[in-house]
Amino acid sequence: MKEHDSDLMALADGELDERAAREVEERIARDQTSRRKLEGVGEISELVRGHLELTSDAVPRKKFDALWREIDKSLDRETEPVKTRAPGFLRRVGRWFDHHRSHIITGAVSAGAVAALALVLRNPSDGAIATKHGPLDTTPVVHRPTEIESLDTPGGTGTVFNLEDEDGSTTVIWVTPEDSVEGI
Amino acid sequence: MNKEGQRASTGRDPVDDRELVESARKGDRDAFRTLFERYHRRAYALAFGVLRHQDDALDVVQDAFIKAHKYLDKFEGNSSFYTWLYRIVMNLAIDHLRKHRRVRPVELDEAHLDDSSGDELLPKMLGGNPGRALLDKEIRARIDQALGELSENHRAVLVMRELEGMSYEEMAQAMGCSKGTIMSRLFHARKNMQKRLADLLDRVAVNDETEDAAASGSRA
Repeated sequence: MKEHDSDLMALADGELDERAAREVEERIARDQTSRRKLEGVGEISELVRGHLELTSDAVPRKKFDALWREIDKSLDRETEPVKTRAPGFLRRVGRWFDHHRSHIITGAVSAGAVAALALVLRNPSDGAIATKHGPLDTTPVVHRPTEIESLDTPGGTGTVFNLEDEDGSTTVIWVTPEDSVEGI
Repeated sequence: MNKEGQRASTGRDPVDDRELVESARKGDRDAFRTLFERYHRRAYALAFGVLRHQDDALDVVQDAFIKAHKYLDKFEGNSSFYTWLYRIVMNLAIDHLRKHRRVRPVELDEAHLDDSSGDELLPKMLGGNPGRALLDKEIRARIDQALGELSENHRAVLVMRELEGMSYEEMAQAMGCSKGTIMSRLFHARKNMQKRLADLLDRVAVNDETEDAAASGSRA
C-alpha cells in the first residue's frame, strides 16, 4: 500500500486529524491523479452501499414479518413466569420424609437397639448365635492346607506352591539363586 | 464520505429511540416492535453484506434483536440505539463466520493475493452517477460477485465501513485486530473491488458520456 494512497483513503474515511487532512488536501489540489483516486474510493463506497441497500430492500416484507413473529415468541418464552409443575418422584419422597421425620428417627433408633441386643445375646463359645428361637448353627468354612513341593534348580533352589481356593488352584514357582544376597 | 455525516443521514431521531427503549425496558412489546420496524432492514443489509447468505443473515438479525431486548437494561444511551444494535449484529455475524466458515479462510496476508495490478488505488472510473450504474442488473450482479470473491475479512471490513461508516478503531475492536490491519484490509478490499469491476465501469462511463452528449445535442 503506497503511503500516499493510504493517506488518501484515510482522508476519504475521515480518519486524519485536521492538520494531516489539510496537508493531503493541498497535495490533491496539485495532483489530478490523486484527486481521481480519491473519487474512486467514493465511487466504490457508493456502489457497495447502494448494492447492499437495494439487496436488503428486495427481501419480501413477509420474511421480516415472520422474523418478528419468531422474535416475539422468543421474547414471550423469556418473560413468561416459570410454571409450577407436578412434583417428581424424588420430590414426593422428600416431602413424605419431611412429613414423617420424627417417626423415621424413632424407627431407626429402635432398629439399632434391637441389633445391639442381638450381638450381646450371641454365644461365642459354640460358634452359634443365640436367638429367641434357639441357637443358630453355623458351619466353619473348610480350609484345605496348601500343598507345597520342593524343586531343585541348577545354581539355586525352587519352591512350588499349589494354592487352592474357591476360584480353583493357582501354582506359584519361587526360584532362589544361590548367590542371591538379601537386600540386593 | 464523512462518517458522522453518513450516520446522521441514515439516523433517526435519537430522542424517539430512547423513549422507545425506555418503554421496551418496562415491557412494552409494541415499543420494541417499532424499533424492529425502524432498523431491521439496515441490520439485515449489514448481516447480509458480511455473510452473503439470506437465511444466515436473517438468523443473525433475529438473534441480534433477541439479544438487544435481553440486554436493554445495559444500554446506557451513550450512543444511538442503532449504533448499539449494529455492534451486536456485527459481533454475531463475525461469530457466525468463525463458526461456519465455508470457504476462503486463507488470507496470506490478503495484501498480495490479487495485486497483480500494483499496490495503488485506481482512479474514479464512472463518468456519471454511481446510482445510475446500480440500475443496471449486470452491474449489480458483478458487484455481488466481486463482494463474494473477497476474503471474509476483507468483505466484513468493507461492509462495516461503507454501510455503517464505522471508524478504523471501531472495526479493529469488532474484529479483534489492530487498526493497521483494518487499514490494510480496507485498502485491498477497495482496490480488489475496483479491479474486478474495472471493465464494467469503463463501459458504463462510455455509455453515460454518449447518452449525455446525445441529450445535449437534442437540446441544441
